[in-house]
Amino acid sequence: MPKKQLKNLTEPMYYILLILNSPNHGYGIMQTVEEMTEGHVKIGAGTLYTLLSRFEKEGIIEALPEEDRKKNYVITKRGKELLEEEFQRLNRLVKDGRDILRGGA
Amino acid sequence: MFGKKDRNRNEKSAGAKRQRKRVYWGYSILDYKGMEAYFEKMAGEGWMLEKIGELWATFYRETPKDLQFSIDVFEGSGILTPEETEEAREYRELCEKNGWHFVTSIKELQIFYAPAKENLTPLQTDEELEENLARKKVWRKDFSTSILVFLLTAGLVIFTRIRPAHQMDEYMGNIIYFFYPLMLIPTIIALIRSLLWIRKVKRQGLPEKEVETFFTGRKRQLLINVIATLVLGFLILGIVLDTLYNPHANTLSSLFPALLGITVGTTIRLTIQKIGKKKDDGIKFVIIGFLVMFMILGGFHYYRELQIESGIGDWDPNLIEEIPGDIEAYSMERILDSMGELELKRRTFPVLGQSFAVPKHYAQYETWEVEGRKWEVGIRTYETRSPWVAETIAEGYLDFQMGGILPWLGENWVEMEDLKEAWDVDAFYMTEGYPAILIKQDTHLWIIEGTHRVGEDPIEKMKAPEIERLIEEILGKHHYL
Repeated sequence: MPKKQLKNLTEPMYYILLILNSPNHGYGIMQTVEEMTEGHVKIGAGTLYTLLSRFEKEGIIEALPEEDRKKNYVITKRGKELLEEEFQRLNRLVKDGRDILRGGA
Repeated sequence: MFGKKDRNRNEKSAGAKRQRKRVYWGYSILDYKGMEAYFEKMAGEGWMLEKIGELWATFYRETPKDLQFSIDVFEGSGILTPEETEEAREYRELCEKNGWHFVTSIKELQIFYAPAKENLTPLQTDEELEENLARKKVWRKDFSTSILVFLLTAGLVIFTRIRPAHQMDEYMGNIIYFFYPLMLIPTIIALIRSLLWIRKVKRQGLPEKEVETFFTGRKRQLLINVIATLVLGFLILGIVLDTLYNPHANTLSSLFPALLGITVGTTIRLTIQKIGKKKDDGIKFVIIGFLVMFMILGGFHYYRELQIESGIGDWDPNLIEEIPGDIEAYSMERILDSMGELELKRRTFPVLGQSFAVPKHYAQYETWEVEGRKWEVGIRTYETRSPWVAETIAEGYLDFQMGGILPWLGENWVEMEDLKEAWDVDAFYMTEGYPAILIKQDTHLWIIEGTHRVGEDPIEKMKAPEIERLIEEILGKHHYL
């Protein structure tokens, strides 16, 4: 059975990929997400680990050589395309929302 | 001042003195959410989880604490993946940094705790992802194991019912036929449980963390394990009885490949999970395990060949055994008396299988020589518990003799209605070519096989006066032909 391809990113997925535009490790990602969203988005350690393995398997991110027993990850070209698509989708959502809710302001 | 070594020893002895408690750990992996609640309850009562083994969970005495437990399904786990990989270390470190302390792991499950008052980010924050993980790693494994065990059990039960005769004259066979079907109960319970679990998850999501779920789950699992242990106990009893009373059956050596497979399989699994360090170690251990298994099987096969060869060497053409006092074997000597100048060349009373269904099963084989020609007769007697057993064995014997699904390879046996009536028995069969007779009366079954010196037609041969005398001896009746 072929695996379901990622269509839309969830909030945690979006933030993980966003942060991995520069190399980072598991705990670093968690802290950055929390700081960036002022605690609105929290990612559990289990969820983060599952997402990182899944992204790595699908070629969305890649692992860099270990430093101080820490595994660093960085987004791949494919991952960047996916993130860009999501960014544009979100922009469209905001634009449509603004048109109706704020009268185009 | 203590040196480092002394300090270690002191810590160790303090650890050893700790009061410990072992709890029977028959549980289904599907109840892992209930387990969290159980560990919290135990910690509240002053028992902290230490480790979980195949059969027991060990707890140690602590001051009662209000803790929260979280059992996480690890993405990087699998049947062929060691528990202590670099990935697992990294993942646990990540959890530790978030305030979750690692306790122990068992197969797919990683167990963590934290003080109850701490408001920590849960290990899993995405419900859908968590559900997928549980379905993929927990349910799929549970379901595939349940269905495999069910199919194997049902297969064996059906197979022994197609050919029940093979199960009648050995203890192990009796137990497989009469008690093994009990194994269908636990396998069906496990299968239904697996299907109900996934249906519930599809409708309501993952189960809640409730200690009741754990206790109900454990009771269900206890029932499953009690029945399985009972059947296993019966099977062991069968092996012991066959070893004592049916040494020719060689139950142990026929079970050897299966026992070897189970032992090697379990060793491979435990070695991978407990000793392996890298993800690829699994495949390496499986290959080594299979090589070891094939080497042992090869050696075993060679040993059996040697045994058979030495057995053939021991065959004595002039062996004349005394009639054993403990069996009522029919002595053909009495028939010989009326047959003139015959010389007894060989006589044996081989030990044949006995069981609950067939308490007595014995035979007598004799060879005589007359005018340079050999004359051989064998009588096999089954004294069974019920007419059904006698009939089952008779049917099985005839089916085997007639070639089963390959009838052109078998002998043709004919039911002799006139002889059946004449001797007043339940069944009377004869072969067309090879001279043999099968007689069944009530709980008794006799199979007479032999070669004869008179007549050309085989059925005519069987009606030879000495055979009629033989049947007369066996049945204790006079013939009416």
